[in-house]
Amino acid sequence: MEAKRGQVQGRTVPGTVPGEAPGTAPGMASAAAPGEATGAGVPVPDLSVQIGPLRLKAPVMPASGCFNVGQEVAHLFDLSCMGAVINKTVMPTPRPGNPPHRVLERSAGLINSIGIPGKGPEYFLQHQLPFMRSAGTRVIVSIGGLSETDFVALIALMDAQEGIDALELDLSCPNHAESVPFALSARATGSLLRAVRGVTRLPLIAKLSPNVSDIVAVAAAAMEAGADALCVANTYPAMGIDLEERRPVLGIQTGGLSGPAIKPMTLRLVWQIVGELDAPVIACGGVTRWQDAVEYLLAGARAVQVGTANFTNPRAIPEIIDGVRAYLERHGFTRVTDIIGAAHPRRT
Amino acid sequence: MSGAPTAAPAPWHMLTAAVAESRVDAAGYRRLVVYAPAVAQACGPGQFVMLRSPEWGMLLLSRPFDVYRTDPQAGTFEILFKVKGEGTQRLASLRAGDDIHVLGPLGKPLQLPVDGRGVILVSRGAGVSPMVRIAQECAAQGVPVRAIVSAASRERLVGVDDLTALGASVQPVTDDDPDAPSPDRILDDWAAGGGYGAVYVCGSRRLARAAKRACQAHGLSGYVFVESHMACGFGICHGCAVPVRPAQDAPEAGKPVYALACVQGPAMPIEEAVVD
Ligand SMILES: Cc1cc2nc3c(=O)[nH]c(=O)nc-3n(C[C@H](O)[C@H](O)[C@H](O)COP(=O)(O)OP(=O)(O)OC[C@H]3O[C@@H](n4cnc5c(N)ncnc54)[C@H](O)[C@@H]3O)c2cc1C
Ligand SMILES: Cc1cc2nc3c(=O)[nH]c(=O)nc-3n(C[C@H](O)[C@H](O)[C@H](O)COP(=O)(O)O)c2cc1C
Ligand code: FES
Repeated sequence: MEAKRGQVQGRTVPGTVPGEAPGTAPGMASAAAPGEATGAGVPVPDLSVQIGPLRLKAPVMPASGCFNVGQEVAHLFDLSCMGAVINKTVMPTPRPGNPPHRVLERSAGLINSIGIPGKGPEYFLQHQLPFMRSAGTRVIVSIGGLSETDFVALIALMDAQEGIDALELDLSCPNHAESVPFALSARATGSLLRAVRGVTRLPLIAKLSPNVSDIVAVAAAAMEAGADALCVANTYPAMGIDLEERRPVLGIQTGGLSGPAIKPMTLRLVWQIVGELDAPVIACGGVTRWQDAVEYLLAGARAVQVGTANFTNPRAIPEIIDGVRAYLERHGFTRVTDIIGAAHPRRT
Repeated sequence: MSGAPTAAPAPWHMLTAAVAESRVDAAGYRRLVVYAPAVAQACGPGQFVMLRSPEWGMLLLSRPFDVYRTDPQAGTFEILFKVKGEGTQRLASLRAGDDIHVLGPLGKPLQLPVDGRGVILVSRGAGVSPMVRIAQECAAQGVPVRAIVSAASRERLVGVDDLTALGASVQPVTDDDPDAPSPDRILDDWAAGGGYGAVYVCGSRRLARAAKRACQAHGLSGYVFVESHMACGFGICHGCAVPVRPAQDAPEAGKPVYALACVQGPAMPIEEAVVD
C-alpha cells in the first residue's frame, strides 16, 4: 500500500472487521449506557468517536446553516443526544443575505443561494452561544470570512470564549459574491490554515468544497497546515431555470445543491480522502436516513453531519442515531469505530 | 398595536395525521380536512402548516399552506389549494384515512383589533384561505367583517359561502363581470366609512397595493400575506426571505433588508412589506 500523504496521527484504517456475531437481537436500542448490558445480555454499542483531539458521544451532528443553533427544534428532541451542536456560520459583520428566491427544489435535491445572512459575532456571542453551551453536548462554532484577516479576528474572538470545543472553518460557501472560496485551491487553503493555526489551540475543522478536481490535494494542504479534521463537504454549484418566466429561479441565478442527490458524489470524496490520508473526516452531504450515515462510516468518515434532511424531518438526527445503534446491534458490533472505514480494502 | 402578529407563538407540532376528507371545490380547487387535534387546537388566525404525503417520490420539501379553518371540537383543520405541480398533485390524490405528515401550526398568529372596530378581508383565488380562518376568529370574538373576494370568473370564486356563513358581508369581484366595481373603489369606500381597524390581504399584489393605499389614506393597520419559497417553514433554512422596508431612520436604511416569511410572517405589516 502506497504511503499516505499528509499528517500521520497514528490512525489505522481497520484491517479486520469483526464478523457477524451470532445471537444478537435486532433493534435493541435502549437507554442503557454504552457497554452496559441490556435485559437480553447484549451490550449497547458504544457510539463515541474520536475526531482529532475531539471526542464525540455520537457520530451524528447537524450541518452548519441547516439547524440555526437548535432552538427551533429543541421541543422535538433532546439535543444532548447529538455528537455536537453547530451554529449557522457566523461572519465578521452582519449581512442581509441574498435576494429571493433563495431556495429551489429539484429531483432529490435542494438548491440554495442563502448567502449567509446573520447578525454578526456580537449577536452570536450574546444570543446563540449560551444556548449552544446549554445543549449538553460538544459545541462546534462555524465561522466564515472573506479574507485571512477576517478568519484571524474571528478565531481570536472565539478563542477567548468559554465552552467552545472546536471551530469549523467554512472555506467553501459558494454563495457570497464577494470572494472565491478558499477551498477551491490547495494553496489558498494551506495558506489560510497556516495564518490561523497559531491563533488558537482549539481543534480546527476545515470545511472543504466538493467543487475541485483533486480533493485529496486540498485535504492534504489543510492537514499539513494544521487542521485537526476535515468536514467533507459543502454544496455543489447548481442552478434551475423557470420555464414560464424563462429566467433562473434563484435571485442570484446560481446556488449550491444539497440533499439526497449529492450523497453518492460526496461519499466518493470521503472515500478518496480516507484512502489516501490519515485525516479524521466528518462527512456532510445528503445524509437523510441512518443508512446514509452507516454508508459514510463504512467509507471511513468518523462522523456525519445532517443538513437538508432537517428541513423536512426535524427529528432526523435522533432517528439516524437510533438507526446507527440498531444497525450495530443487529450486526453484533460493540463499538461504532468497528465499522469506520470497514469498506476499504484490507491494509497490510 | 391592534391587528399585529403576536410575538411568541406556542411551539409547533410534528406529527403524522390522518386525512379526514378530500374533495374538489369550485374550479378545481381542492380541499383537505386533516384530523390533528394538537394542530387544530393550537392554530391561530394567520398561521400555516407544512404538509407532505408519505408517497412523495423524489420530492424533498414539504409544501406550505395557509389554514382555511379549524374545528377544535372535531380536532380537524382544513386547507384549500390549487394543484400546481407534483407536490400539490400528490396531496390531491390523498383520500380519507390516508396518512399525511404535518408540521404546524407555523408562523405568527394574528391578533385582531380589540377596540370593537371591524376588519376588512381582501383576497384573490386561494388567497381566501387565511381569510376564512380570520373570519372564524372574528365570529368568535364578535368582530364585524367585510370581505372582497376576487377571482377571474364567477365559476372560480371560492370561499364566499363559508365567509358569509361566518357572518361576513362579502363583495365578490370577478374579472369577467363588466359591471363589477373596482376593488380600489370598494376598499376606499369601506375604509373611509369608519368602523374598521385593520385590512388583511392575500393572493394578489395588485390588491395589496390597493389595500396599502386605503390603509395610508384612512389610517388603518394593514397586513399582507407575503409569498416566498420555503424549505423548512420553521426558521432554520433562511430560504423564505422577503424584502422589507426598513424605517427611514433605521441604521439599515438604504441597504437591502429581509424578513423570514415563515417566522416573521406570513402576514407582514403592509408598510414594511414590499408590494410594488
Ligand atoms: C405561507 C404559504 C402559504 C400558502 N398557502 C397556500 C394555500 O392556502 N393554498 C394554495 O393553493 N397555495 C398556497 N401556497 C402556495 C403553495 O405552497 C404552492 O402552490 C405549492 O408549494 C406548490 O407545490 P407543487 O409541488 O405543487 O408545485 P411546484 O411548482 O412543482 O413546486 C416546486 C417548489 O416550488 C415551491 N413553490 C412553487 N410555487 C410556490 C408558491 N406560490 N409559494 C411558495 N412556494 C412555491 C414549492 O413549495 C416547491 O418547493 C402557500 C405558500 C406559502 C409560502
Ligand atoms: C439552506 C442551507 C444553508 C446552508 N448554510 C451553510 C452555512 O451557513 N455554512 C456552511 O458551512 N454550510 C452551509 N450549508 C451547507 C451545509 O452545511 C452542507 O454542507 C450541505 O448542505 C450538504 O449537506 P446536506 O446534503 O446534508 O444538506 C448550507 C446548506 C443549506 C441547504
Ligand atoms: S422556510 Fe426555512 S427559514 Fe423560513
